[in-house]
Amino acid sequence: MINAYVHRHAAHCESGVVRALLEQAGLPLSEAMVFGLSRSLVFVHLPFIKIGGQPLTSYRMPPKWVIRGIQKSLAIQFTKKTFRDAQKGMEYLDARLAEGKIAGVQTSVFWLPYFPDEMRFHFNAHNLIAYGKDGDEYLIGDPVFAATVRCDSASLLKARFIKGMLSPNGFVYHLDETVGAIDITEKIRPALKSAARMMTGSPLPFVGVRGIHFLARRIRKLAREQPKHARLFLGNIIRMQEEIGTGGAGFRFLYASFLQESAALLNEPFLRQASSEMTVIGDEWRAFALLVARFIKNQEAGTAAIGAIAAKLDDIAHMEKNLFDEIKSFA
Amino acid sequence: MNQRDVPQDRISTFAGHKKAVYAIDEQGEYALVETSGWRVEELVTCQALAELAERRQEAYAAWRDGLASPLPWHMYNKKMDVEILARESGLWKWRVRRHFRLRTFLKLSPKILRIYAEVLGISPEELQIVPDESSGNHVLFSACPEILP
Repeated sequence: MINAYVHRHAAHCESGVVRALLEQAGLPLSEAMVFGLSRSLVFVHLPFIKIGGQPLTSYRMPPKWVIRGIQKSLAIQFTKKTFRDAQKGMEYLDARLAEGKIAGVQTSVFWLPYFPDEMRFHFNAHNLIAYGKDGDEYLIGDPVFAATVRCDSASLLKARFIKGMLSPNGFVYHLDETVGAIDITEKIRPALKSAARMMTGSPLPFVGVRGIHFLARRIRKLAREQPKHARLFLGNIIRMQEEIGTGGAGFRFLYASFLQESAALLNEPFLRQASSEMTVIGDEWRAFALLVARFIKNQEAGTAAIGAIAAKLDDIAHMEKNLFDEIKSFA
Repeated sequence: MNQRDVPQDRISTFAGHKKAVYAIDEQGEYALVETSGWRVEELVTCQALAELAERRQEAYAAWRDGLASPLPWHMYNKKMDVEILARESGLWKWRVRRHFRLRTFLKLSPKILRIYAEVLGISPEELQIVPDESSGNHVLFSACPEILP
């Protein structure tokens, strides 16, 4: 069976899937609006959580935040299911598809056969849309890919029931009823305020603007470490910023798009200005990535290069502080 | 980022695919733009792949010299580390590390071997051997892309 579904390429898997589910339920929002309203933008650097031997750096809130955030913002409810028994989890999805509906599915990236080998890593909170089944193959709308794809049932089962960090436990989610007309204009200010608080008001030194300064301090200390260690540490940050589907510059361009759309909806020139500033900040994050890339390739640059990389981060932190302070007072 | 500045570097790590990024057009309006990749991203992905390949080659040498079991080679071949292998197989990390020793590995029960084989997505027979590394595809850090100034 093939159910009604229009595939669209997205920057980020979770906001892409939630956007598709909302559209199916009668509420067409942009990916950027979904990301913004769910208050998903942040910066965190957690030295005590290691992934692949490197500390966790993230430019957005943890997995499932987009789903929870949009529920809270729009006062809607997704049906969410996890399963202990893999077979039951597959039967549930099949039944949903047999009803002519689509569903969001959490999977591991590594075990999805349609991912090219180069793009596969052990990340277990990847989101996709299942919109049909043809024999043994599921029809998949994966937001990371421009076109729809297919996945055999054995691979999808393995990807949905992988154990380990952020294990999906077969997580499936969907909207059962049509979402009525929602006036999103009144949802924007609270979402802005919440994101600004997260970025500027964190009591923890790892989160928000403080987290960026914290990372800059840690980078300065890399000058005393083995060059190879420094290269891997810095390379991992850029992977989190660019490789994992952020729409560029660690979700900053996606958020700038949200600000721009909000400016038009609320007819607020301030937000248009804020969007432009966020674009500049995004460009600075890309400049930071470029500095790191040059450091990784030219070992001779050493301490001076590390100092420049850390200084760039401190600059970005100041810019984000100023912008989110303005957004906070606006909201 | 302006749409005309969106990198189209056709990077190897996209394997012919395109990703979506957000960028502004001439009027300053945001839209989704397809990109064939940025060399900076290619470099850091390549770096991570090269690191795994290096670990795998060390595991191969250790196995060839009789110093280690085939398990670490298979682990790195599937881009895992001890943390991931332990979590996905439901075993303690120290147990997994013990199974890196050839003598311990040779005494493993079929049940444990089946668990590893399943987690790694191979057969228990495949788990016993290590393919010749010289025929494998090596990602070398030195071959990762240069970043032009």
